Amino acid sequence: MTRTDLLSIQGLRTEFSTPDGSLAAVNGVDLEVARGDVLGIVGESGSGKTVLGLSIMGLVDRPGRVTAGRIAFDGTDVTVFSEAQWQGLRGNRIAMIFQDPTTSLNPVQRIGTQMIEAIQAHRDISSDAARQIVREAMVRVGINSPDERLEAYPHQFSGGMRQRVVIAIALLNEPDLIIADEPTTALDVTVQSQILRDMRRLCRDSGSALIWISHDLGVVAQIAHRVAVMYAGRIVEQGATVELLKSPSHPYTAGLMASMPANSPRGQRLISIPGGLPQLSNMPRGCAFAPRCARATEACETPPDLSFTTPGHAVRCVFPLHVGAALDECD
Amino acid sequence: MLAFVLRRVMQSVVVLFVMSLIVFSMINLVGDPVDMLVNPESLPEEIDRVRRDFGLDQPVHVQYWKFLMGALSGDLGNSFIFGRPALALMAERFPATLELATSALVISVTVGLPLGVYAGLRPDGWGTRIIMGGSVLGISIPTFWLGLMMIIVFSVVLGWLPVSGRGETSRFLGIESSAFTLDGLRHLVLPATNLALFKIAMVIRLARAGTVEVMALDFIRFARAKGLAPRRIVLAHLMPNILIPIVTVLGIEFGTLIAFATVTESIFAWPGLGKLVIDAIVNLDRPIVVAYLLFVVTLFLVLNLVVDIMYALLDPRVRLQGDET
Amino acid sequence: MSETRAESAARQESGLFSKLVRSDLSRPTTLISGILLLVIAASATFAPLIAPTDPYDLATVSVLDGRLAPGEEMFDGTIAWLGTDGAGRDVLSAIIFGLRTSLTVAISSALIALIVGLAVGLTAAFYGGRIDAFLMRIVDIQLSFPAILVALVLLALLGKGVDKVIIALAIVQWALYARTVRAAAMVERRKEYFEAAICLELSNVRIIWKHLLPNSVSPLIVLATLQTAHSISIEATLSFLGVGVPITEPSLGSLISNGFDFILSGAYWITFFPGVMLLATVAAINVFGDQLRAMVNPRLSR
Repeated sequence: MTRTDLLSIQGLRTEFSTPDGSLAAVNGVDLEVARGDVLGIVGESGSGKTVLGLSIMGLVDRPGRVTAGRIAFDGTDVTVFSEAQWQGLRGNRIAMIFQDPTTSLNPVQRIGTQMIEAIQAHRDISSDAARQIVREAMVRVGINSPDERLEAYPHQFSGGMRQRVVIAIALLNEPDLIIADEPTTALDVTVQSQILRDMRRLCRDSGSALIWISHDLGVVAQIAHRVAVMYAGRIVEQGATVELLKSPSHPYTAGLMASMPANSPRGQRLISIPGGLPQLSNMPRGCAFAPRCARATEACETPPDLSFTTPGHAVRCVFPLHVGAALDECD
Repeated sequence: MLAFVLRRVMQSVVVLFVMSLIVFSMINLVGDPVDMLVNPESLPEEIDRVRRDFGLDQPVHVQYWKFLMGALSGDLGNSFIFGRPALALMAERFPATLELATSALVISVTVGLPLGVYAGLRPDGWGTRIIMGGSVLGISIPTFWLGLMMIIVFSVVLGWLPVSGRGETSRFLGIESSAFTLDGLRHLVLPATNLALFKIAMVIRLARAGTVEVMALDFIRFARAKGLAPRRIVLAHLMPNILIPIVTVLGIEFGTLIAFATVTESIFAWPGLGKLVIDAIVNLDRPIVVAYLLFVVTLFLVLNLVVDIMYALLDPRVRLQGDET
Repeated sequence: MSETRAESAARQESGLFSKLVRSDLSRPTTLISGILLLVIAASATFAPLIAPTDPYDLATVSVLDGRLAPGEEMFDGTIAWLGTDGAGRDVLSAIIFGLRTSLTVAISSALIALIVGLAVGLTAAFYGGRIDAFLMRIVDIQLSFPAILVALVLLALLGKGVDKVIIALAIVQWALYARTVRAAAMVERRKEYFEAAICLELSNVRIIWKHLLPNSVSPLIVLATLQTAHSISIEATLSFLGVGVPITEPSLGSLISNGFDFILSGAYWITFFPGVMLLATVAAINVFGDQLRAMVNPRLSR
């Protein structure tokens, strides 16, 4: 890769100590995000994708803790940051948007106050000047008559409007990186696609890189340049969106694609992957997906390493799909 | 909002009416009130005369009607001991009690809130263990005994503070209080702290529970993701959210402060309502007891009403729903 | 089916206590409070055997022994470890006997309140509808007034005496038991087998006894424990105010009240030691009760 990496994660491990011992929610993750890049992270709930996002923000709370690995943001390792250093980073250079817009905003504080404080936390600026920035940000995310809206409380907004406010807050300080954790899941389908379109436009305009976390491969396909598929705390496949969708190498990715409604023939039952995520406290020794995998053999009982099918398309599987086809293309 | 207030007022009136019935039957059904009024060795003619004079020969519903009308016009009879209208006596004593209860409320919030929030923010710290241990002790210590111990330590042994009474009062903004003179303050400190003690423990527990609950919510996490300083998160995001339930409970508990003031006032000879009613109970001065009872019932109903309205004002969600309907 | 219910309820109970025993050993505070409770209960029960002197025996109590400081020797040679009061009674003995009165009042009133509350709560849960709404309305109104105030007014009407204090405290507490029992029984009522039992026309008493009651036992034990501490405190306060038990049968509260008059003259021990006993008793019960509650409902203990 020739582009300079904005975010570079190596061997990240985030553990939660429980009465049953320490459980790794994120287990040896490597990731790279370049400036202006859009990375999609796909996985079922419980696959560790949200914890991964929180780890990058330094927001993993006890009993959770980043126990190993390096998160280099713009060349600096942030895992060793003090709380004060984190404060300077969060909301300023890295912003995060959470899943549920109904609970992301303080119910008893005016929208305007919650936006202005996000600016004043990082810039020594008068309230009037901050208000002007906020007003522009509101218009940019498609909220009309911002002056009126700034005086309102969150409950007076619809879910979609609230998520727009949250997005506006994330964009306020023109961050280098935005982490969006399922920001459209709680919204109506029509609102979902609007927000998706807006996010893509806004990130392009501001040059911010974006990490879009979702359980829905379809949504990620619409926005991301590259996709990483997470399963049980590990990244099992990673590659350019187009290529990954065209020739998924990991059986899990293939299963996810097959279970998308758009890919099923009309009138037939949706295909679903049998079984569920393994318990963190009871992980298979080898490949975590093996118990649900039709192709699994004894060879899957040793943990598979990450291998490249093509440059930039990596998979963690002993028997990757389409490997021959992929190699052919490479030749 | 108006409909809501009206409905609540109507409910309160019904409860008050029922309570007046209960109070009335308690005085009239438990023992013959005439026994209280005359010398046991009086002649039967004398007893009959008293019975007629007090209207006790009339049917019960007529008597109740008279009692009710009297109560509504502010006449709850004369004190047997002081020979003056019960209501006037209570009105004289009430400001002292109000002052004591208000001071206690202020103390309990200013001490309890920071401690409780601290305990909620650092659930595993040893500071938290001390605070929570102290609050268990605070709930267990009988208030009156602690009052006595405070007298022993601060008045008898150290000689810093006076033992009893209200001290010098002065008028400020039309309110007569001991809080405006140094002597008055010196008299106020011990009783107010004593009365506040139980409430401090309660505020600590409420604030801690609220803090733990609110800090786990998404909007706190989002506030952290915005890069806000911990101070700002606590003051602007945590506090407004935990204050709503605390204000509600404290509002209702203000009534219990007035009730518990009976004990504190007896210990520190504070010339308030509580001391009046304890003396009345000991001396079988029933009109005072009845007046106090009706007063307290009214007070509780009003407090509940005020708290509901306050709650609506503090929480924009409730407030605006009210506006829409 | 009813048998298995009863059995499982019984199992729950034994589980509760075995858990208590285990956690008792693991947490020093619980261990200390448990031991303290045992010592307190034993001293109260065997008061006449334990107390150095009999504070009610007018023949042995002498005014000449009045206001001895802790550790001084009394006229008959016994050492008054905690001093003597104004009438020459040994404070330690008075405390042990006072504890007896305090515990008697608290436990008997808790029992009466428990029985009344159980009856009202089960009736409300069983019949539901208007009867339930009416009974719970009364409970709500009663609980909106502070216990100390209700007790004070009741005693103003009833007069002094151990029996009257017990009655007043029972009246103060029944509503809390009623509410707790109803809440627990309502959970059971919503289950399907309850409808089945009604359809089978089992007798009402049987349904209440076998089905609604067992579920209420755990929360009731917890409530009764904590309420005992509360009523010891209320009784002491009432007695201190002079409307509780008479001075002829002193409880911890009346002992403290008795010492109030000597505070300014520096004889602190007459008030101090009964208060320490009162505090220790109430705190021990509270800590123990909190532990019980945490076991019955782990969510609350956080």
